[in-house]
Amino acid sequence: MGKASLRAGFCFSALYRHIQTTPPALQLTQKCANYCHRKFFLMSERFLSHKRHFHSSVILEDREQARHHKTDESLKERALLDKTGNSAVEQRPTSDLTTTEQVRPPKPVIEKTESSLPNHDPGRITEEQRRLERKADSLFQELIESRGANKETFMFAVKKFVDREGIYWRGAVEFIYAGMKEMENFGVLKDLDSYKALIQAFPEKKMIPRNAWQVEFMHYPRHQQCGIDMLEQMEHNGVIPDEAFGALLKNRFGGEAHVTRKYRRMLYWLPKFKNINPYPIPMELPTDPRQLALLALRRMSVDRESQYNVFEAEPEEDTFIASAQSPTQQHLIQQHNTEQPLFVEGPYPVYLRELRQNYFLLRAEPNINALMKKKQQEKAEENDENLFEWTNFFEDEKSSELRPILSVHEQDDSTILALSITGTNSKASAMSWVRCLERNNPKLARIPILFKIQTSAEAGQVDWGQQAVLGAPTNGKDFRQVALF
Amino acid sequence: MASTSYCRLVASRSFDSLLKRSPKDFGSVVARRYEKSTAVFYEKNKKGLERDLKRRPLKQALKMTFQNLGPELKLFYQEQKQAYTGFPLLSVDHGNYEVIYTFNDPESVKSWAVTADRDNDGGKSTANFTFSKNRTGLFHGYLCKEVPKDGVTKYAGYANITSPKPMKSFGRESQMDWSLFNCLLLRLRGDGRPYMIVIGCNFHYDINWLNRWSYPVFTRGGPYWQHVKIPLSKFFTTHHGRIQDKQEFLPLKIINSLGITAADSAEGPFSLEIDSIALMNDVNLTDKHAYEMYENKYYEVQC
Repeated sequence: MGKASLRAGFCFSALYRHIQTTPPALQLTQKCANYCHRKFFLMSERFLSHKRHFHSSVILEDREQARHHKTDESLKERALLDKTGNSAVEQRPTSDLTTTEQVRPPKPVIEKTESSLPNHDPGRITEEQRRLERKADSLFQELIESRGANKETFMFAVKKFVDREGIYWRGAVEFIYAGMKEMENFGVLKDLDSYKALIQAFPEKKMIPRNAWQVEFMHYPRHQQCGIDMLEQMEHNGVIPDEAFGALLKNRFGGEAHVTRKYRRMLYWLPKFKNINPYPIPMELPTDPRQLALLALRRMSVDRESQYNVFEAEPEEDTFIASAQSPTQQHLIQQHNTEQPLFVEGPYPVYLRELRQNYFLLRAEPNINALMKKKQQEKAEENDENLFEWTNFFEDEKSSELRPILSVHEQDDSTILALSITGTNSKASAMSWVRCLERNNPKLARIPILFKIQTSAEAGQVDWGQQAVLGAPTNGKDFRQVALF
Repeated sequence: MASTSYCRLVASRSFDSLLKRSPKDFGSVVARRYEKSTAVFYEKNKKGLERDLKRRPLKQALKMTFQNLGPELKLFYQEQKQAYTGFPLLSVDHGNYEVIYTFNDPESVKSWAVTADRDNDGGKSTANFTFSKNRTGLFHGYLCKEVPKDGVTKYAGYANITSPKPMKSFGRESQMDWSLFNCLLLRLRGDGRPYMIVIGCNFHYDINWLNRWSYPVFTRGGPYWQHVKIPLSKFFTTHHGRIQDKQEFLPLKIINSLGITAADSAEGPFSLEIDSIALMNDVNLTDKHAYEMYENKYYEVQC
């Protein structure tokens, strides 16, 4: 038996080895081992000498008797106490089997829709919790009123909470959830410093799990869930935590807790995906609409030679027209047949991360002859029949053979001639854009131009010049809102 | 996009909390969508839905079986013939490609499944996948970030299109073999948003059913077509839409579906025009998997 228990002890220690052994965990295993040893020795002694065994048993009996006496005495004392005074008030029967049920105050009924914090069972929200939530909310509201909503105020709010609740840390979870909700008002949604400040509303050291079981069974679950939610909010807003944030987290939850694991996961993945966009957008977009328009145009136009112009309107109106056109496109307009019309289409949406702009495009019908020629050439390349019709090096190679038949602007559905983003997205602005283009493309004045401008009700549905068919008729409401925007 | 909570799992497991509830509350503990945690492995169906999938009534099923017996037998005969006489593709050269999906006819567009969060009561987004005038597939709709007030959902706004599953005769599920190729080619043009490509596989056990391999495709916006090439090694493992610590390489022999998701945080209309999707072999791509796959000494969670 001794051997078996020793083996069990060994197994336990092996089990623990896979988690970094914290001192308390070590202690536990050692205790277990010590206990095994002592029992083993006792047993061996028992087998070795009868006398000693007898002796020890006597001692054990004595001890047990003493223990009984002790309990008896305590009972007596209790009985005495009952007789002397307050026994009438709290008459508690000694046996566990006959305990009377304690009458508890009725639980406050809270409706499910009232659930305030995410991830928490609304049925288990207590009145105390609601009070703490209200307190946290009011702290932020008072500070917004007195100091204005900015980063300093947010920092001050956290400092105020820490000063006030620094001893018992009552309502830390509620405070942090309230803070997370208010971050957008304070304008610190994408600010790492504010998250660092907010995590400091949790007490240090208290919540560090002391053994593997505590780690796996979510020590301080509400606090950890709160931390995880906060990290998720950071993730959604593109905030990548740094080492200092990790240090703050480790001081509060230890190195192995679920929150810290989430932090490590984020530290691993987010920098990997930070720069995978081949058409990058700056993290902080400029506020000037002209700059934004140019940014979107640069992203859209594939031609490196494109020239970007911003045409300003008359000084009374604060509007502009940003235009992009390359020399190749100018050349295409110059070659265009004056009998065939050009089209101005739009406004179509284009996104720079969450920001939406609308663009117009000037296009012509596709150049079918050139497209057919290209198709034929591709077919000829694929065809294996002329495999042996090699050109020998005595023949001249014309430089025009290497030139691509089509430019990037001549696509198989249309030929794109210019792009623009205007300040107002109106038909009038599109017309004035064409007038602006006439400065560099004098032939435009002689070509008929058709305007296919979407009305405001349709705006936002990109169909590349086709009738839009959208899912549910109730959608219309959404689109009208968009048009207002 | 319902949030999953560890806290909830622990709470529902402890017996104590169950006893404290009134019998009326008891039902809410057992079968509710939000009671489910990522730590629970059981899946009811391959879609990952809590409810049962609709089944055809027996009478109708029998009728359909007899109706389709002829065509299905013919299909079965063709399959067998292909299996015994067809010559399998053993290798492909550098630069060879195979078009797996094209949208040059309305039928191919119609066969794809369109989902938005409105369909699962998870939001108000809408989506549609239509055949456009340019003979391409147009994935368009409106992403709405408004979160439904059910107290559970935290984020909203997604739309997805998924390819039909390859099927064999008699309605048996089949799979595609992509193992000869090592990158995905797409011809598309979008509105400047990023879209996520999601590849699903035909797994047997339910713990794997919701494993997907994803990688974003970035569009530049504007009227120009984009040719996107994504190495298959770049696709990362996700489960229930969450990126996994233990990464696995995309099992190329059992590919089941390919989907495109629009779920970036920008509210507003979206549109993505897709011409075709192809597979290509590029000998210059030597990566097996783009992410670290080392194992921890004690087999604990990596990271």
